[in-house]
Amino acid sequence: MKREEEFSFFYRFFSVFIHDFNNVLNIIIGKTYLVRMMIKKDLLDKEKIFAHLDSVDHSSNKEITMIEGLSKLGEVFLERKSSFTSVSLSSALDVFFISSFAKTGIIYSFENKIEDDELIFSDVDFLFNLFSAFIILFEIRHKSLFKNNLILKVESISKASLSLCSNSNFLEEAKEGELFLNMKKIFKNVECEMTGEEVIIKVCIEKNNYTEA
Amino acid sequence: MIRKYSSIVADDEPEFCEIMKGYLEGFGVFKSIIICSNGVDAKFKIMNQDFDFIMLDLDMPKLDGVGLIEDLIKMKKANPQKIVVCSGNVSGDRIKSILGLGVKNILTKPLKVEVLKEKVFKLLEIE
Repeated sequence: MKREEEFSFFYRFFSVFIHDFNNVLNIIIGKTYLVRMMIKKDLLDKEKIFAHLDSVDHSSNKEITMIEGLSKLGEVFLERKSSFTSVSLSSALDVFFISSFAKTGIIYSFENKIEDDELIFSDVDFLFNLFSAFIILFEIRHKSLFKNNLILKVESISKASLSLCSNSNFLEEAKEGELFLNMKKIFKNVECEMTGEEVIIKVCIEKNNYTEA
Repeated sequence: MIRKYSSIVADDEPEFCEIMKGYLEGFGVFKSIIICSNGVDAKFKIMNQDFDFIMLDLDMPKLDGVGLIEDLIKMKKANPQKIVVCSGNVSGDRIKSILGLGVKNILTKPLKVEVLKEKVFKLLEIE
């Protein structure tokens, strides 16, 4: 990946985290303020106060999970440096999935329609970053929505897609929901299709931009 | 202080809206605080009612903050200088597009109550 594109990718990738961190922190600060005001004004609605405190607690835990996710990403980066030598798509994905999913408990299946030894991207960093972004987003933000079921399909040398089996409520929200918006922020071309019980988010990789290291 | 102003807050995060409502109520100047969870609802409300204070998130479903501001300006339903944009990530190109629309009040999350109060009182010209 060209240097400029790499910076652009990381900018977009980390923007999503900045957004999330700030939102969660906002809840912690805001709810604490609301509780303080309630006590100050002697509005001792215990149920409401506990609801605010639960929210603070939940947000704090979410923040911790996000930090753990980022740490995990850092570890994966370090591991990759020493173990990645080939640029075969399947081997790259193997390394990626093994290192990413080992501790998460998410059950995944991977359908590879491309021959094992076919070289897809000469830039393994791009591939790695792409899937790291997917997984971090899914694992931290939307794990509960997908019944722990996530299928990544690499359809062609220029297209990758994620199939998410989920409930009907999520299907309704998928197209305009937060997940899709975040995907759009990170990747230039994102499409969302709904087929029955499945939501397919297609991320088109602009191959020409990324084949040269 | 008399509660005479009307306000609208549009953000897809329900908890953020609840917090903003708490903040704004605490200022003691608003007679109504309308909450919307997406850009389309906010647009409909602003088209049908005049608001003294408009606070918008950038990342909203159906119609995002930038699109909403563009529509409001086209329909002459809001003065961009009176709109406050608040988002968890306001940087780079997004700032340029917001400033390009004439919106000068940009706040970032996490939002402190003192910062919001100062902005609200300044916009409403309250001493």
